[in-house]
Amino acid sequence: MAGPAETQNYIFVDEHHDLAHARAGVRQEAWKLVDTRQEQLDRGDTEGIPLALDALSTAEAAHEAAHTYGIDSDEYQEKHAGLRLDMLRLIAEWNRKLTYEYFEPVRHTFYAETEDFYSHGLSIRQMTENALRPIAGNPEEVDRRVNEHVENETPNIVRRLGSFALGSIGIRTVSECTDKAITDYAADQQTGATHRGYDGYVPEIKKLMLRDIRFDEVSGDRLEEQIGVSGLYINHYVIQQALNRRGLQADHLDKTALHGSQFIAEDNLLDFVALLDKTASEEWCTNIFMGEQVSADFVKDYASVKQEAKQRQEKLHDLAATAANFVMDLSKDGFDKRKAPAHIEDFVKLQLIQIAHGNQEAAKHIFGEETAQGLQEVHWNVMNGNEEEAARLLDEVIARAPGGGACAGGSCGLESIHQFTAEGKKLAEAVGAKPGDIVVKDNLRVCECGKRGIVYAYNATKVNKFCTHCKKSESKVSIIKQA
Amino acid sequence: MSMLTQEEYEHKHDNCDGLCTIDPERVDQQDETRMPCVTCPFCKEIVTAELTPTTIHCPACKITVKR
Repeated sequence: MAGPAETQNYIFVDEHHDLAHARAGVRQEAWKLVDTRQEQLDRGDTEGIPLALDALSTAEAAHEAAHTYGIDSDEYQEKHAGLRLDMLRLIAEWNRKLTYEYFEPVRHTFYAETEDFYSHGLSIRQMTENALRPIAGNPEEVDRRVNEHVENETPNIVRRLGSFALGSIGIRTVSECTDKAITDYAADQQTGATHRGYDGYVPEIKKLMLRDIRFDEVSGDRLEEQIGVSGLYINHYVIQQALNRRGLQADHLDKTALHGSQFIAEDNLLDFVALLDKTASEEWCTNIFMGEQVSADFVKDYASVKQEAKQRQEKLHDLAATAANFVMDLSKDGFDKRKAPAHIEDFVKLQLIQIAHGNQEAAKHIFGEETAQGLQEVHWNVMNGNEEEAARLLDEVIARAPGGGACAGGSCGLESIHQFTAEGKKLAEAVGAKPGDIVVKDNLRVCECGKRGIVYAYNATKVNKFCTHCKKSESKVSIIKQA
Repeated sequence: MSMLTQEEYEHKHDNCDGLCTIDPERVDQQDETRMPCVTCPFCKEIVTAELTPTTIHCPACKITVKR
């Protein structure tokens, strides 16, 4: 039975004149910055252009806090918790890449002096600003980044202008897969080319992300909640029809324009998914739940979606802590920040390959049918004692398995050590790996002896290193207070 | 970005900090004209770099330098 909020009409933020005016100002400033960076590139003066994505910034802040306040300090623990949360989000999104997932609200702390929101000490305004730049041949992506900068500033504008009762509303964004990602993916499928990453979008299922920002009226902070669902049934037309049912005329908006048009909603995000499912079910004449086709008699239990997601994500905490340990280690080693996003993604990919290796269903959700079949073949070879063939096949499967976004298929410098082979066992033993550790050879980092090829064993609390050339080994314990 | 002087061209290559060096292991095994997961040293965007036998090219900012 629908409650009052579930039948309330939505309102585009820009229907309010003052809000529209303020948002247009932010948009104009964002485009000015894109133009300035274009001029810098044209002049060859690229020093001031920031990295589009700084994957080591949280780890750097954690190291700095450890140095200043010590590893027992709240400052260090908070920064490290932030890094673990970032890693959990990366892994959890990838773990359900090809299906739906719910992500519980994440707090963004408000600082009145700068009128900016921070996530674990890092300015979100700065992050969205850093992503602004011209991208030749991809104006759609530039538009999306400008939209995201405006989206980030919108809660502040709404609060400043006092247009709505903040406690009861969500500021909602619908972020569909870009046309470029869909076109590129289709072309690569036709030619058999390797997965390209597609700027972090998931064109395989035309995935759409739905976001709500809500205010915590007591602290002034905001909370960001997200759901990702397939866009195969919930396509742009279905979204427009669903919005019409809540009083929003969106027929004139293409995907990017809708992405840039936040709207005010009083219902919750799962109510919105239910509305989209209902509309899609009617349009496609089939039963849709969380964006996916289900049997006609399927019981749609939206109430259990959050709990199930929580249970799934709780199982990923150890992996997230291990990945955080890897990132801390990269940062400590002074690893090149420009290579870090791809390197981190490569590490997470190897972690997820381990999960997918023993779980056909998970493999399909994480990497798709081709990787799932490949891993099954690897498993079959291991079971039959064909270890060399299994290792060869596994290398092939890993190389072809799609990345999570920043990185495409292939390897970005990390090599998996297959512990079912004699050589893999020897290396795992040399590096002091324990069951459950992720063991990798890093072909980018250089040992003190000057050569590359250090083998690492990581888990949630330690890093072991072994140089395959000079045979030097090292073990470090990472001490983290358990929350 | 297209017509660079020789001086500009060399300056850009010097500014690569090794990112314009091709690591054969990172080249797409299926298509040797592509190197995925590269942060362009100029526009700082993560791109799939385009390779020719003598050059490396960023599709995002259109800068081309010698390998």
